[in-house]
Amino acid sequence: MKDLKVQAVCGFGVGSSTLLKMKLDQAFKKNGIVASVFAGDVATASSVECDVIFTSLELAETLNKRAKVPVVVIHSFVDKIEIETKALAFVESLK
Amino acid sequence: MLRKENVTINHQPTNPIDALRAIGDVLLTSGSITPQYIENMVQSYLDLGPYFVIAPGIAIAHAKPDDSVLRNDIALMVCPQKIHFNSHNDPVSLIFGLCATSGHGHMDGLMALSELLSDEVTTKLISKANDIESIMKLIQPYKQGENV
Repeated sequence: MKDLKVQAVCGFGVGSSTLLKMKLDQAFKKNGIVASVFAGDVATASSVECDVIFTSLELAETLNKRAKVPVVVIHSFVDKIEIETKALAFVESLK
Repeated sequence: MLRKENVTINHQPTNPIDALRAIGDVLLTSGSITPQYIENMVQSYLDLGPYFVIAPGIAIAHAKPDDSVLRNDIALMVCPQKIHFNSHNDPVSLIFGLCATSGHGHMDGLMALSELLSDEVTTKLISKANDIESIMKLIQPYKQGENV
C-alpha cells in the first residue's frame, strides 16, 4: 500500500489544524502506519491531493459537498483516543 | 508558549463576539497584532462558525496569517461565566487567542499547547483558577524548551 496522504483542515490551516495534525502524526506513528499528515485550510482543502480529510463538525458540512475523498469528523482535536480510533478505522476501511 | 502578561482572568464576556474581542485585545496590548486582526477573527467566526471550539470547553480563536499579525503569539482568557458559541463543545471556559505570521511559524508553541490541552485534569484546574500565578504554575511543566 502506498503511503497515506492525510489532510487536517481548519479555517486557515494554521491553528487548530496544526494541533490536529500533531495528534494524527502521533496516532499513526504509534500504530506503525506510514502517513504524511499536513495542515490545510477549508477554502483550498478540496482541491489539494490527499487520501482523506480530518476536520471539525462545522467544516465537514462544507467540505462534504466539495471533497472527492472521505471526510472524517473529529469532535475534540485534543482527544488522543477519539483521533486514534477514527484514524485506525479509516486505515481499516481501505483494506 | 504563554507569557504571564498574556493571561487574563478579569474579563467577563457574555457572548462569543465580546469574547473574541476581549482575547484579541490581549494580543493587541502585547503588540502582536493590529486592530484589523480582531476584526478578522470576528468575521471568521461569522463566516465559518464555531469550528475553533476544538474540544469540550476549549476555544482557540484565530484568523488567517496576514499583515495584521506582527509576530507569533498566544494568549489565554479564563471565563468563569462560560460562553456559548453554538458548538457541540459548549460551554467554553478557556479561550486561547492565536496569531501567526505564517502557516509554519509557531510549531513549538502549538506542540506544547497541544500536550497541555490533552491533559484534562490540568485544563479543568486552569478553568477554575482564581489568579494568574496559579495558572502559570499549571502551565509551567509544558513550557520547557518551548518558545512561540
